[in-house]
Amino acid sequence: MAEQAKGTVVTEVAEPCQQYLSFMLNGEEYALDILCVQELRGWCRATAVPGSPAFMCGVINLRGEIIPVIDLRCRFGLPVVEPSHETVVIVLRVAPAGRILGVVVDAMAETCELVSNEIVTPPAQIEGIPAEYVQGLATLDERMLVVLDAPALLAMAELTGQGGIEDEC
Amino acid sequence: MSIDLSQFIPTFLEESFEGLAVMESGLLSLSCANDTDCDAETINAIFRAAHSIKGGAGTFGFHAVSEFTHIAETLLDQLRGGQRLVSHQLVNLLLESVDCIRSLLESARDGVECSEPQVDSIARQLQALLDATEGQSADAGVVLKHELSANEKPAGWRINFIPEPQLLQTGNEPLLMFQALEDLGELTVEVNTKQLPILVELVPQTLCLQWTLTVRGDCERDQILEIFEWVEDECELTIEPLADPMLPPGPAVTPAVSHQTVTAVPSDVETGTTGQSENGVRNSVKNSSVKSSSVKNSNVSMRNTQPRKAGQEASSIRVDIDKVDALINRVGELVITQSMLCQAGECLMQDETLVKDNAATCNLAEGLSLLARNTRDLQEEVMRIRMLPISFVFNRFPRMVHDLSGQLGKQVSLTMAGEQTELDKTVMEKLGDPMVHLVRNSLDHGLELPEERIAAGKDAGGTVHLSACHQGGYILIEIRDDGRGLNTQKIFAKAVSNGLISHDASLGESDIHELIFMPGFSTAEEVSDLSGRGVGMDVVRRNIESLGGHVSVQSQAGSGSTFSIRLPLTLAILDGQLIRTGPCEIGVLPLVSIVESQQLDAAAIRVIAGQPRLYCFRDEYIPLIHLQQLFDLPGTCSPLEHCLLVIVEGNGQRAGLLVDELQGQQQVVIKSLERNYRRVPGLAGATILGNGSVALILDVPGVIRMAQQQAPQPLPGAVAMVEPVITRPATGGVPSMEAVEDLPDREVGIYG
Amino acid sequence: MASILVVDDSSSLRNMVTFTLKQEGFEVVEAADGKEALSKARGGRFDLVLSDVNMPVMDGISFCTELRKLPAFRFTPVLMLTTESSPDMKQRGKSAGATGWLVKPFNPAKLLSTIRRVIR
Repeated sequence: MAEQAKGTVVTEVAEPCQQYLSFMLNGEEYALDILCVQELRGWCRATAVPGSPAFMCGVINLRGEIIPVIDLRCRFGLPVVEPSHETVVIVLRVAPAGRILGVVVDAMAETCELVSNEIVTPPAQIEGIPAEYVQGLATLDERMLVVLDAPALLAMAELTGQGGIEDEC
Repeated sequence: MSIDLSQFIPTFLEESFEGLAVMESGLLSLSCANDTDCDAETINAIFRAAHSIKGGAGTFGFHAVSEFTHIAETLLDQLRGGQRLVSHQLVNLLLESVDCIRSLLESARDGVECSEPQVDSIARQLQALLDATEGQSADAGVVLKHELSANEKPAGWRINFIPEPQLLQTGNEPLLMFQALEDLGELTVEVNTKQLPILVELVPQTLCLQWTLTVRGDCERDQILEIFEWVEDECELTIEPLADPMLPPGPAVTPAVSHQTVTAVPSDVETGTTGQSENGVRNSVKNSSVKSSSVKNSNVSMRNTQPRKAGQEASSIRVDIDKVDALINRVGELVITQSMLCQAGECLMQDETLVKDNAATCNLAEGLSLLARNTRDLQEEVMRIRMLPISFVFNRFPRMVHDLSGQLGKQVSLTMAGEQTELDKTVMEKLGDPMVHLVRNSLDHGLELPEERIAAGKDAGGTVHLSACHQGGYILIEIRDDGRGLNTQKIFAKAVSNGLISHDASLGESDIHELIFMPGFSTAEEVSDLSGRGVGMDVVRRNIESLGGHVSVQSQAGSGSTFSIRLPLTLAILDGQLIRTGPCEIGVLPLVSIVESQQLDAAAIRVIAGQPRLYCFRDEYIPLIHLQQLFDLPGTCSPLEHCLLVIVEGNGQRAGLLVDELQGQQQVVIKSLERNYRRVPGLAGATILGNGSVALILDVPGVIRMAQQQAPQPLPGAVAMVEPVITRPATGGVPSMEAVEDLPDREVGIYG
Repeated sequence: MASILVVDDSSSLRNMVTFTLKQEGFEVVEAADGKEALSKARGGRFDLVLSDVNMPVMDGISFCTELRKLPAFRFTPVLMLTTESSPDMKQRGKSAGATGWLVKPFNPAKLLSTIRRVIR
């Protein structure tokens, strides 16, 4: 008994729990590391920016900062729907002074704790979702979560203009 | 004592860099001056700057800087003292020293080892110069110090101190010196008053006392010497170690008055320990310290009646730029909030249910308009904090011209005007590189060699003139040379061979001059050591335009060229015209780009290939740009006859923008799109409107360029696929209609 | 509390000196050159003057000479802040009426211990 308890402690130290924020997209459940989430906002109309990719809704005013907002459905090739009162913008920021990105999702689900060794590499490419945005898959109460990689979303070449999409005109 | 010196370092660095600029410009004026009549004040100023840098660097622990500067300063001191004459060579060496000090300071600032190989070599050259004439001077003080620094450590010291009578007149005060001695150990003071005159002969300003002092404790001879350091020339001083650690006798613990010794006037001979307080000692030597206490007393009384004026000393303060920017941002937010409030107020006041003559509504309206005015004033004031005179950019050119003209074998005089014209610091920082390029270019290609100039009937020495002045919300900077001017034929030929235009293009002279700003015009052949670095005029133009400015050239063959740069005074706010394109998108056009707004005149539209492409505006054909189409904005396009036309100018060209509606004009705070997103062609940034929504600010030159790329103008002569910047009908009529001018024969480069 | 006039054209040095002195409870008035210092001296009372030597407009030596001509400053301690400790320098200071000198570079502790010799 004592031995067992000790064993558990050791595992926890080696595999710390992290909090994740899960959300819904086209009936599927996704998750993001909660430390990368700055805040959540209700949906508001974004100002379209010409020459932007289709998944980019536009820019919004976040307390004086202009931040881009992307539609994750569109980015992942899911059918686009009209925003509802459940629609939420997850504001991501990795570093304190880093870039900020708004991500539009269907609805919030919950916060959950995942142990990092429970997040496994997906067996195959998930259709429509570029592999670089997926950190892994996790199972929570028999539901499957797709854990997304927030830094990778923020570094999306189409948003930073570094992918050679365009620079000069 | 814990004072964190690092808090003073930024100021030190800033002022040292300013000091270097002073040294540099001083040295340059020396090199221009006649060797015989060097301005003493100039040399002094250079010396002082070096001196301050050395002193500060030593204090703040930048030893590499202080050591190097010390050598240069010693040389400068000799110049100042007339022991050394100003020579061209010396000035150049000192100029190089300035560079070394700068890089040493930069390394110190960044906390890295200075890797500049020049430093050692220049230091050696300076030292060699010094050694060659080294006489006696300077080091004597150091030698003296070493002489005296024998580190004995006996139980204490006996000090015989016989001051000269005038010692008090330099402000030295034996009492305080004794108190300092007391800090070193237990002190016994014996005073000898045998030299004291009788009262009627006593001159209060003279010192007639002599002392024998004993310090017991763990202190060094040097520490005692240091206390007497300032009076050692004005006294007889002997310092002997105490032989017997326990002698002479004295109350070990209690200070109090002790024994009476010494002779002559009995009552005047007293000893005491200074620990007993100033008064005790002062009383004991009352006669000789008459002056001292009376002065002190008068000090006290005057102090009470004359309160010092405080707070008058600071006429300017140094503030971290981040703080200023934070303030500016905050004011920007305030402006947005204010316009939000005003909108809300207007909505309220239109409300039918509120009675018109309701006092509250009146007060609200009044308050809001006051708020609007105050906010605007506040914003203007705050923006002015960031403004600096353009001399910050101009200052680097005297040195550059000095160095370059030497390398090129050209005689160049640089003149400047309007150096005090103010400009936003950020704009200034970004202006540096393009200006360096243009000035180098003028020296390298524009100005001729002396013989060439003489042959052309000009002075052997050429002139480069820099000027700056304000024009509306803009600053106008000109770089003018009296060199050979641009060679239109060469430029034309080169543009043809680089595939920018076809050989049968017919362009006016100014259109040809414009070609030098085209990407792909400047080639490796053009890039010399000097104006080199592989950047062409296209980069200069792009840099200037990225600041919302414009650069153009006027040139007269044989008599010179003038590059004109027009820049907004600030990058933070903009006077904008709100426009609506498509069903709901609001955009902002910078007011400065707008020439005129008008109803579209259907008769003036020229249709090409089924599309309305050109518009006849004041006898000039300008391209028509449909913003909604260009940006591929959603919604159906309004029919042409419902559109408004805004004539804009950018990039030296005009164009007509088709928009759906003109809304109000307002000052907007420019926000970066790049910070969280990326640069977007055709946009200069974004702003937040009164209702909190985001509006995009159009980049007019960018919009014109995009339009040209999307639908190349059917311009005869231009090779369609390469960015046909040459659609420049500003000189009147479309280029194809212009007569080809007869051009005189000229030689080298793009210059005549 | 004793008040001190600090004269130096380098504002970083001046800041450091002022800061140190104020921490010790002295009142401090600053001047950027001899001329400014002189006019401040005329308008005030100081128990100690600390002055740089090399300054624009009026150097420290001339300043000291002029200061000594003011009755109120005949015996006021004047310390020159100097980078050289040569006999020549000392002589120049002395003949201008300076009390002593403080060789740059110095740190706050050194500054305080030194001025204790002329002001308490």
